[in-house]
Amino acid sequence: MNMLVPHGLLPRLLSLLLLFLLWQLVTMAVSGDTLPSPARVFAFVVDEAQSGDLVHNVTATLSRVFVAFSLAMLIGGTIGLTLGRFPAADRLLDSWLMILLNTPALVIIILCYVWLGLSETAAITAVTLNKIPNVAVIMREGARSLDPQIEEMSRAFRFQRRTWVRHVLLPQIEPYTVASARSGLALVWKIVLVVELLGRPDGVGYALSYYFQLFNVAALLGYSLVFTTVVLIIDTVVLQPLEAYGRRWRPVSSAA
Amino acid sequence: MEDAGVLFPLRLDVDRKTYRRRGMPPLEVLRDFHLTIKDGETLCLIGPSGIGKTTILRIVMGLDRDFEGGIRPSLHKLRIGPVFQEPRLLPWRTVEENVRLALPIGERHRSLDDLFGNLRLSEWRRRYPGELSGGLARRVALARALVIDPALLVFDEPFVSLDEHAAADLRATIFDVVAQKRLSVLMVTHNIREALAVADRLVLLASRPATVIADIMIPTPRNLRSESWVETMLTKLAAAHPQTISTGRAEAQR
Repeated sequence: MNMLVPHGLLPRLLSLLLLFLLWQLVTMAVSGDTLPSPARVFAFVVDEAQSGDLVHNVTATLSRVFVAFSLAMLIGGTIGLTLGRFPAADRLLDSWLMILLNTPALVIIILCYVWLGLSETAAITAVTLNKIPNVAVIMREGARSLDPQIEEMSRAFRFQRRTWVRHVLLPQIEPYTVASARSGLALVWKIVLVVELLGRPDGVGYALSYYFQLFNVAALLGYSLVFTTVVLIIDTVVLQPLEAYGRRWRPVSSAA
Repeated sequence: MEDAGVLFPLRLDVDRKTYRRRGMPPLEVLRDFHLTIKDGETLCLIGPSGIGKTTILRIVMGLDRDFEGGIRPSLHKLRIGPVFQEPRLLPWRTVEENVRLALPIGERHRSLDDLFGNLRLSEWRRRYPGELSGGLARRVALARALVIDPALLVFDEPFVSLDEHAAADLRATIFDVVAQKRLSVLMVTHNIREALAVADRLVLLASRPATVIADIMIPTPRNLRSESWVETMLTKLAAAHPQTISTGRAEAQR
């Protein structure tokens, strides 16, 4: 197999091709505007890109995703690690976490807009708050799973705090970080769209609500397609290589 | 670097060590346990499994401070090189990184060629622990304990779960270094033959709470301890301390 093609790319491309084929077939069976053909959707994407709106909206959404995602990983990670390491804190805050985890995203978004106004701060806060409990729960598991034998070893050698964090703690929670990052990215961008739909003057979510009012299904599908592609690329180009790097020390299993 | 003369003899006094768990009666594992380790001495603690040998090591390593008694000199003055029963290497760091990480940050970049050469680890420096055999991984654990220039090396059953050949090889490696650097060693084992082959002093423990039942000096130089010498000593010891030592085949095979 070609060394430059990531493992499993070919079957993935084939399955995507199959999906488009299926889509084309269904559009031919269904008449009217409810399901535009792939060609019409692509034509819209090209148009929108030429007008500059596509880039503007996608960039606006991506920057919100980036800020909210980073904040949520940082805050949620800190909370999760603290809860995993200190049972007393866990007993105190566990129910808060469960409440936040089970509050509908929409409620948090509306409350943020009500309390903070229809502002960028409110939008980012809402998305971050939605994502924090998710990260915290996964990272708490990570902190709980620290190997006690290795902990003892690092105490016996009197590892300095810095050494412990970098060489003992981080490598052990790395799989949990990647898991929460990957599931988090998917969650965050969906919530960003809702936030934009409800109270932002730009972004993919705003564009979707605009075209919804015009019943322009091709535009809806076009935006959705573009944004899904962008997120898939981020996952493949950034997160998956990070995960592979974090796993480099693991002995290769015979199945691989 | 501290003056070794101030550190030794190292004295461990445990008046009482009790494990308390909620809902269970307190379990007293050590009472009036006193141990003195002299400079350059290899001391083996011997006793049946589960009588608190590992607890003693944990106290010496500073991992367990919840006991009545004390250690002199205090542990922060004393560099202890711990070698656990399992290698306990960081699987996500290379052999070399594992050894270097034991050093304080300022000393991490010094050359370790001699150490790795001595322990025949040079060609393994860039490998990860998952690629090593049990014997090799323990040699790395030994390198990690030696790199900090310990005043006292502490071994918890270092040869358990190694095959006979690997165990003999590791033992030779350890005691070559110990002789070369005149290190003091505290080793815990339940294998009396192993202890007889290397110890300057045997301390036999019995029953719970663990108490010292015999403290035996072995002046015979290590290179003169033949197999028949070990068997003779073993027979003598077994006769004197039947509750701690048996000559039975079962013991030999462990």
